[in-house]
Amino acid sequence: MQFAPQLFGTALRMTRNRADAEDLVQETMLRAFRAYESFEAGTNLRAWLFRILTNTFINSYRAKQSRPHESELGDLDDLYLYKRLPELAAHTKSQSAEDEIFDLFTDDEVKRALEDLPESFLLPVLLADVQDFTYQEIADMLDIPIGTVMSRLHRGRKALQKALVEFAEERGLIDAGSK
Amino acid sequence: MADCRDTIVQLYAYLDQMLDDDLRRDIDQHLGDCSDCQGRVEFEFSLKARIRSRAAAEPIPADLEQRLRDCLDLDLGDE
Repeated sequence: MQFAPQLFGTALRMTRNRADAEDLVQETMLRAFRAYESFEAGTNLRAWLFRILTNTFINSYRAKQSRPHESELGDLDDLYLYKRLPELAAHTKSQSAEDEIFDLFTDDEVKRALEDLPESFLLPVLLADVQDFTYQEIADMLDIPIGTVMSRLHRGRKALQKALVEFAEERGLIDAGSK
Repeated sequence: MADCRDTIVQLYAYLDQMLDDDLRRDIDQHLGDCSDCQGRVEFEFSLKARIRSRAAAEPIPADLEQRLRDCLDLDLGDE
């Protein structure tokens, strides 16, 4: 069960609730135990487990979710967060260290920014940026072309940065509306 | 030669090491000359690392651990 905490972390972001995340991980492990004969020794066990997790989520839990649609996000600019660094830096002691700027965001904000991504972005971002799978592994898991993984991941990252900027605006760390 | 615009467009593919060698070399060369773009790339790198460290794993609650053990036992018991 060495991968269970990673599976559970991902399941929480996918389902946004503990009870469903626990059920999803249990179902994933059960399917994995039962299908273990189909696992090819020497291939990546972690990728195989995440593939089962992802498919179980899509088939059984996705319908319960209500996430914003891509079109509701508006424009997704490049370097959304980076452009606001000078304003954010004004709230840190040293005025420059990136670490301190990231620490302005709470764990809860980072998790919410991930969880509230449109679904088409959520899975590529979780699998690539949080779990460090390659584009090819993600394309195999989601059964979509690699170019689609790339474009969803890239737009998802911009959307994630936009969400973090909005949290900073809500807390008054930076001015809303200024660019 | 890559410029700032090219670097921003290719930023994520560069971060993920998905560029072909020629384009990668072009961008590397631009990064050597342009501290603005270097700052952008470094920021995106550390943002990615930060997000991972904050959201990658969650401790398994005791009741889930027990449920996982139970279904493993049950499955082995079936055979």
